[in-house]
Formats: sequence, structure tokens, C-alpha cells
Amino acid sequence: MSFNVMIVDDSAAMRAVIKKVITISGFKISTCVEAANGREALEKLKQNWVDVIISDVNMPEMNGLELLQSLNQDPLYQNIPAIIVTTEGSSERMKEALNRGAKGFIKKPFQPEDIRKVLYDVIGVGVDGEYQEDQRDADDGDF
Amino acid sequence: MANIKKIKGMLTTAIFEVFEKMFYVFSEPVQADGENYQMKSSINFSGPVSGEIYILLNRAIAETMVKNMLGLDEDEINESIIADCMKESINMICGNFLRKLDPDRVFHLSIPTFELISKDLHHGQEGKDQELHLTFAADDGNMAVVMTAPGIL
Repeated sequence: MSFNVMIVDDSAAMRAVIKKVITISGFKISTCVEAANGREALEKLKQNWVDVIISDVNMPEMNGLELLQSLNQDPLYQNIPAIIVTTEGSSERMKEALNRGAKGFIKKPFQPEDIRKVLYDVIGVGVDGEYQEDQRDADDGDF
Repeated sequence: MANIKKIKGMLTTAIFEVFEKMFYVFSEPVQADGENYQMKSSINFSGPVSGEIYILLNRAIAETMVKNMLGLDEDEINESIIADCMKESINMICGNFLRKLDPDRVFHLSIPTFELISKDLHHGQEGKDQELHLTFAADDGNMAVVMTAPGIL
């Protein structure tokens, strides 16, 4: 199973790292849409359907919390799970993000397993290998 | 809030965590030695406490950080990528430090900046009042992190 992922971060380097970590964690990405801020993300969402959005908070023009609010207010986008990746990890900030519709929270600096775990929790399907293993177990049971 | 010794410990830990987890650069604290730093990246923060944190680096360490973080070869590294990684490093150091300083309250971080600096810019900055100056030695040279935060230093 593969996913369309949107990564929103004003740092191209951080977007590249997140994409690399997702890939080496075993998740298959069919399309990766990148945006440098919330406004660009909303523009690109008009042309691209994504399964999950991974966004920074501290960005110019439109920050990650404003993006969450825009997504949450739009019936077309409000069901796309959004994960916040940020250095700003106070409990108040996390509450604010969750109230605006975030489904997961990753604190920078992170290790690959941090992203893997949150992605697993949010999209409900593990890396490709685990998913197939579960399916095989289920199939064995049926027969 | 914490006293100066705890603050120094929290900032040092924040720096170690960022450099080890994201850039695979391992360093140890040393006495400031007047190294000729070539680049500076800084960020401002506000909230329960306001201030600035900046990092000074030489190009060799910066290139190692970029190579380790992104898996790039030497000929793929350019000024833009270095600036991007340096800004991200100070962003993470600042956010990580503030989480340790006060995990319950919200701080606002500015967009980080990056600049190439002249050889003498950093001289005379060490030991100013209300400034915490930390120097670290890594394989490719020294780096310094300086924090100005009048409310706590």
C-alpha cells in the first residue's frame, strides 16, 4: 500500500529529511507534494489529493497552526490527517494544535522511529511489510 | 524557571540532542578559543522570557552537518543548502531548549536568519553580561552557541 504525502516546511533540507525517513521506515510513497508554507500547501492541495499532511509550525506567510485551521474549516480537506513536526513542543502548543485538528505530534529533533510510530498511529497502517504480514495472518485464519 | 547553572545544562543538552540526532555530529564542551568562525545563524524568541540564540560555525563543520543530515556528496553542497541546514539547526536548538526551560508555556520563535561573517565579528563577544556563551569541539573544529536572555541570565 502506498501513500500520497504532503510535507510542509520552509526548510527544503528538513522536507528532504522527513521524506527520506518515511521511505527508509518502509512506508511507500507514491506521490510526495512539498510546500514551503501553509499558503503554498493550500494552493497545491487544489491540484493534488494527499492521504496525510506533515507540517512544520514556524513558517513565513502562513504557519502550521493557521494551515490546520484552514484545513479544519474546509469540508474537502478536514478529514485529511495532519501531523505537526515542530521544535515548539509545549503542552499548550500541543493542545492548540490538537484543537485545530492535528492528529499527531512529532518533536524536533526526532529519530526515524518517532516519525514511523506517529505515522503508524495516524494513518492506521504500518510499513508495507507489517501490513502484508497482518493480511497473511488473516488469510491463514480464513482457510 | 531555573538558575544559571541549570539553564547552561539545559542549553548544552539541547545542543547535544540536536547535533547528535539530526546531524550525527558529536562534540564536547571546551573553553572559548577565538576560532575564526565563518557563518552565523540566529533566532529570536519571546514569551515568558525573551531573547536571542545564535550559532557560530566554520565551513568544515557546516559541510559535515549537511552531508550527514541529507546524505549528500561534497560536490552537491552549496551555500543555499548550508544556510538552510544552519537555520534549521538553530531553530531546533532554540525550540528544544525552551521546551526544557518551561514545558508548559508557549514561546514564539522568529524565522531564523543566516549570514556569512567576517573573521573578527565574534571577537569581544565572550563574557558579556546577560549572555551565555558555550563553545564545543567537534572533529572539524569548534562551534559556539550564544544566548542572550535578560530575564534569566
